[in-house]
Amino acid sequence: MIQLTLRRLAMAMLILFGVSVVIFLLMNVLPGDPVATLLGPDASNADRLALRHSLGLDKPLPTQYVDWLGRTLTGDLGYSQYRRAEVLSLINAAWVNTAILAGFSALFGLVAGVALGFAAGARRGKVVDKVISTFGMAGLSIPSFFVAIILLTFFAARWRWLPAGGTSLSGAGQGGLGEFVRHLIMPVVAGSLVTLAITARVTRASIVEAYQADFVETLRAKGLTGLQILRHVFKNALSPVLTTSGLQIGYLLGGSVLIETIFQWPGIGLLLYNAIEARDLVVVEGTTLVIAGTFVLINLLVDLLQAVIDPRQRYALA
Amino acid sequence: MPSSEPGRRRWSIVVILVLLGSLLVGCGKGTVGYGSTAGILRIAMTAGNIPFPSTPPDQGYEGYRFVGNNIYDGLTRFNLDQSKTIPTPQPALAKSWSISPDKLTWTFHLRRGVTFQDGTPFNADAVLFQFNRMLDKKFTYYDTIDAPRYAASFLQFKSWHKIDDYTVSVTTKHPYAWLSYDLASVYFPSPAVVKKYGNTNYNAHAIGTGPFTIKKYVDGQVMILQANDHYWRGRPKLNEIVLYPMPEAATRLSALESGEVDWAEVPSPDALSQLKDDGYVTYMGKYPHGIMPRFNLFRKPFKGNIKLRKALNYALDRVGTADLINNVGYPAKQYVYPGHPDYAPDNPGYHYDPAEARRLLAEAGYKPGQLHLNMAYPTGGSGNMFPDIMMQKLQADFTAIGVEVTLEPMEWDTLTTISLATLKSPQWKNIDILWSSPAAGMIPTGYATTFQCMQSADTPNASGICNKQMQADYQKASSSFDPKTSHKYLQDMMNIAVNDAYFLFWMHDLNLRVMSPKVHGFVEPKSWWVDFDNITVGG
Repeated sequence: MIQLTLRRLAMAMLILFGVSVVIFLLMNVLPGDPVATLLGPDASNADRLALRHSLGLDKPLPTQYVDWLGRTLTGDLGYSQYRRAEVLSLINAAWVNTAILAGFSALFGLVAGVALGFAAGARRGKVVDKVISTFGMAGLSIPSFFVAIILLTFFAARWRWLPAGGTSLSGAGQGGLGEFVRHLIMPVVAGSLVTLAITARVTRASIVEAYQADFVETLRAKGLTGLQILRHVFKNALSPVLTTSGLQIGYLLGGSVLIETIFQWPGIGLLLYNAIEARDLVVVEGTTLVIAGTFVLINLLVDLLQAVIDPRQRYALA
Repeated sequence: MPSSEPGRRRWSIVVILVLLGSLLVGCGKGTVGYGSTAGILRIAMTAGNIPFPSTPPDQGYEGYRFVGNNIYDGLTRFNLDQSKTIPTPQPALAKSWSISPDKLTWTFHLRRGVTFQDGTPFNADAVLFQFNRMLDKKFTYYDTIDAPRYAASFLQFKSWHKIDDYTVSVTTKHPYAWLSYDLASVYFPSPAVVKKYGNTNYNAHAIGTGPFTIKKYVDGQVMILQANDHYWRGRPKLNEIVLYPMPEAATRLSALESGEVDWAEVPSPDALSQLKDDGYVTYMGKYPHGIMPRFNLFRKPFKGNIKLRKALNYALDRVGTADLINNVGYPAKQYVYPGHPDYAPDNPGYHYDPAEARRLLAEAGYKPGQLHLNMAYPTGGSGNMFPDIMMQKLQADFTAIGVEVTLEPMEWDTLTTISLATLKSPQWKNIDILWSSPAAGMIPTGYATTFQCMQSADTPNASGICNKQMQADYQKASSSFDPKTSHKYLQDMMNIAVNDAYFLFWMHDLNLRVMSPKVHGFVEPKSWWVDFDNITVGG
């Protein structure tokens, strides 16, 4: 197990290194000039050259990368001249908001997905199964931004039941738990739809497969009740659901750029969107690295968790 | 299969009902919308973030409109409380000024008794502090970021002096009549705050002399401005202004309709009739803003080919484009709108005439299908109207005369950097036509970057425009202290621009914005800026 953990950790580090190279290169080949964006149209070329020099942007790309990586490894993600703030402090503030949104989205998406998938799998071929499968397919097919706009149109604009955007955490005079929940509902529903749909489909398939396994016949032969058999089936069907859940939590923690932008949820996705718009390279690099790191870490944890609860997986992963 | 067991069926139904119920939690009770709060004006901006309260602010003119002009004052200010004429500079922190006989030195007499929002006095020292902060690289508080951003406003400064505690002078490099225009957007921060927090941390503690002071500022989320009780022009009528960044049009519209904001910038034109039916007040009016794409004059096919540039101007179906955007804009004849003081009289400009366009195209040396162009345009961004739908129309119009156009959509910030790099740079030289959305004629100095051979001291015009007569007209206008004479020169400049077809004269914007009927006292000036002092919001 220790050997497995170390091996997976080494792979995670390798992936993060690869991600850092790709991010760095991508941001430097994209069109647009961060210095020009920062200084605006009135600055002279001499001013732009001076700032480029002071930011180290006139150095060769490999040197810039090594400088950046060196700083990053010491926990210094740099200073955003555009936002006039430490990148780490910007990410910390945004990450808390994303974690709140992701937490509730994961809770809603996974619990509802497992429950629906379970209900569909247990009632395979029946009306319930067909209805849930259709909704699952719709959840996967309809883009989340479209769902977000539909929700905004009806729940915010037409019926005025829910606020259109933002959080109550920093709003203007609107506070309390009720307000907090009301601000969360639409981003959570729109953002967790894919998670819900994938989880439901995987759970359903897993439950159906588990019901077809030989051990179910054995359990029946031993005289177990339907509910007791269901418990065994559920436990055996859990492994693929866990893998999918890990990926989905990683995805949600990475922050959804579209959902956070549409609902003005001040998380990591919105931070990334604004940074890309402004060509704020240090923030884009830091944010993307944190998103990738979160994703890799969650997957690592899921792999290890799987290995703990399922010995077959331990051998497979090793 | 166990599916026939009634217990499990009930269980499945319960699960589904619980989930559906959880979806509806919070939706059904106690939610009646926010409605307006008397004295508080809540605004949905198009900006992706709260504009920095720096001097100058960021986020383009939205930054000046909502943050800069409310927190700060300049030595001069535009008369934005009227909608009849293009606003001109009026006394503000300078209660008067005089100009030396050689027209080089301006002496400003400062208003006495003005204090910054932190209680420190505004005086000649505060003026010189900001001038040094922007101009003197040896000054302790020289701001390496904001100084270059303010460069255009200080372009003509040669020297500046304190005469006494309430008098300062500025000497310009040449006789320059538009200094009062430049100084309207030069804001004065409290020197005490800059010294205390430094330039780096100033934004979080920004203090000016303006009608509002920052009550709450959460980067990326909200800024609450509170009325300055001691404002030198009298306390504004609003108690608070709340600013929200909402770059998505759908979000702004929903926020307005849900009663979360009282004012939404640039809603989708498709929503206009619905908004009017729902009782919202829409504002539209002529103001200095247009979409005037620029030809790449550094190379063929446009360099030296006036007929081709004219052909494309005749090919544009401007009325059709305006229809597509629900007439929230109208066809352009010149760079500035008809009625603007710089509008060239007796020049009808270009109208939609495909036959004439085809004739000119042939005379320019191109048969239908021979010319293929690349045009860069932004996908959105403040002041860009509705680029996607407009560009599709342009592409169809050009195709109709046998000119193919490849559309190159890009982010607004990227496009603005093209202007700085110029269409001559290796990265952007493949672009034939560049989208441009100028504040055409808001301030005369705004013409410099587009009409002059050099857009700054060391950077050529972005699209390669360099016409000696236009250059001379601009110089004479800027050194003419009689406004009528100045406008004459600028009219001549506009006339040449039309005759030589330096731009695609396409569309003027009508500055669509929509407000709750509870907002009163709003005057829509012919400007990108707004006077908030007399606005009220009913409960």
